[in-house]
Order: sequence, then C-alpha cells, then structure tokens
Amino acid sequence: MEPSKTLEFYQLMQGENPLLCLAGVIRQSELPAYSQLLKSRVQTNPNLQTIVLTVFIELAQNILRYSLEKIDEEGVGVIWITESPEQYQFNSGNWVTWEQSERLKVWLDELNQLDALGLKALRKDRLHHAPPEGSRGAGLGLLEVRRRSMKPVEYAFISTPNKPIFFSLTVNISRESL
Amino acid sequence: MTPPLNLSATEFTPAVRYDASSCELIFEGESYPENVAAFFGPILEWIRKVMSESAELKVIFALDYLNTSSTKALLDLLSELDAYHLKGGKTEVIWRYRAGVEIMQEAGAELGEDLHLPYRLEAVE
Repeated sequence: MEPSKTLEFYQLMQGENPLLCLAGVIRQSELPAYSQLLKSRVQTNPNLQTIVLTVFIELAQNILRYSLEKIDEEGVGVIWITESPEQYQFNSGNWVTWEQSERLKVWLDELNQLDALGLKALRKDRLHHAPPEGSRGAGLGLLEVRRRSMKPVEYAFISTPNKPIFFSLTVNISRESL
Repeated sequence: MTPPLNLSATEFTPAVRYDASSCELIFEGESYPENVAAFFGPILEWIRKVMSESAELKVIFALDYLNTSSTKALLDLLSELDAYHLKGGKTEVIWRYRAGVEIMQEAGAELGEDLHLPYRLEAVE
C-alpha cells in the first residue's frame, strides 16, 4: 500500500471520531480484548457500557459466524464504531450470498417497522420458538441490535461485479439514558 | 446425593458453583461463548440429575453480560426448573444485577415473565 493511503485512511477515520476500528478476521478468542477496550472507553455509565458491549458482541459474532469470507473458519468483515456527544454509531460490513441478502432484507425490514413493544413481543416469540442452539440463524442477534438502536437501522446490500454481495449495516445507540 | 459442580469463569463463560450446604447454584460473570450448547448442556444435565432426586435447588444468576444465544440457553434451563416447580419440586431463582444497569435488569425481568416458580430480581450496589 502506498504510504499516502495511510493519511487518507487516517483522515477518513479522524473526521468520524473513531472508538474502535476492526477490519479483517473477527476471532471469538479476541472478543474479550475488544470488549475490555470498549469498557475502558465507555466508563461513565455502566448501563451504556453494557449496551455498547451487547451491540458489539452481536455484530462481531454475526460476522464470525455468517460472513461468506472466512479465515480458519472464522468470518472476515469490518466493524467500526464512532462516537459523538449524542450517540455511538456502529458500522459493520461483510460479504454474504444472494440468498443471505434476501433473508436479511426481509428480516431487517420487519424489525424496522416495529416499535419497542413490538420488538419485545417478537423477541419473546423468537426466544420461545427458536431452534436449539447449534442450528444457526434464529435472527436473535439482529433483533437485539435493533432493540438497542434509537431509530430504524440503516442497511445496504451492495452488488459488485464478479463478487458476492456486501452487507453493510449502520446502528445508532443514544448516549442518553434509554 | 447431589453431585458437585464447580466451574471456573473463563473469558466467555461465567463461574458456576454449587454450594451443597445452602442448595445454591450460582452463575457469576459474563456469558458469550461461541458454542452455547457445549457450555450449558452439561449444566442442564446436572440440573436434571438434581431434579430426578427431588432435591432442593436455588439458582442465582449474577451475570454482568450475556449474549442472545446465552439468553436462549437460560430460557431453556428456566423452563425445566419451572416444570420441576409445577410438579412440586422445591426451587427458586434470583436474578442479580448491578444497580443502574437497566439492560441487565430488563433481561432478568423478561426471562422471568412467564414462569410460575418463585423468581425475583435483586439489585446489588
């Protein structure tokens, strides 16, 4: 990579007030280290700290389990978290198949149409009827992420020539008490 | 005779300890393992053995954080305890959370919503 790219990357990140930026393989064994870092950066409010941890772990575990791109059976993707006085913004991205993208669209649209009570009811239904752990894809992770988001989550499925589809998700968590 | 159970906490899983003198099983720490079934499966087996002996069992959850897969595992565990209670088994559950951490208070309240067994939330400072 050209050295000047580092400046471009730095300027892109700096404008956004990054809290954590990960790109590459997301390993389960490394999640505690990232969690520790997030906890030390969000110290003032233990409730907010747990919410930030919740959203991060669900997004990270989604990538490591479901990303189409894998290294040593663990998923590859990107997660970057930025902070502003009002909110934390989580951005995650990874490659998915066309079938995954179709399922995700339906699920995210369903989640985005619901209010807090609707999300709570859906979560309860899914928890009681979710297949046993091990069979994947009950969708509980994204449901939890949506519940913590102050507004509908934003997503994009980006098609690129000769490649699978890139799934990009943006979630905003309010820094005010929820 | 209730078998012993004493698991140390790991980076992803809580400590799980059984105190035979008080009949208390306590979960303490964080829970977000990669393979939830591998962690909770043996604990559920242990609980089934206790229930098969009609023994008393008080379960205390003192978790700082749990992921959605762990929530599902806990719900399955609580359903079995509730069935035990409905058949006359002596059991109760306490959900401890750090005062002010509403997300964990809410997690405990929601897990206990449809249960019949004695279930209470307990804030600790």
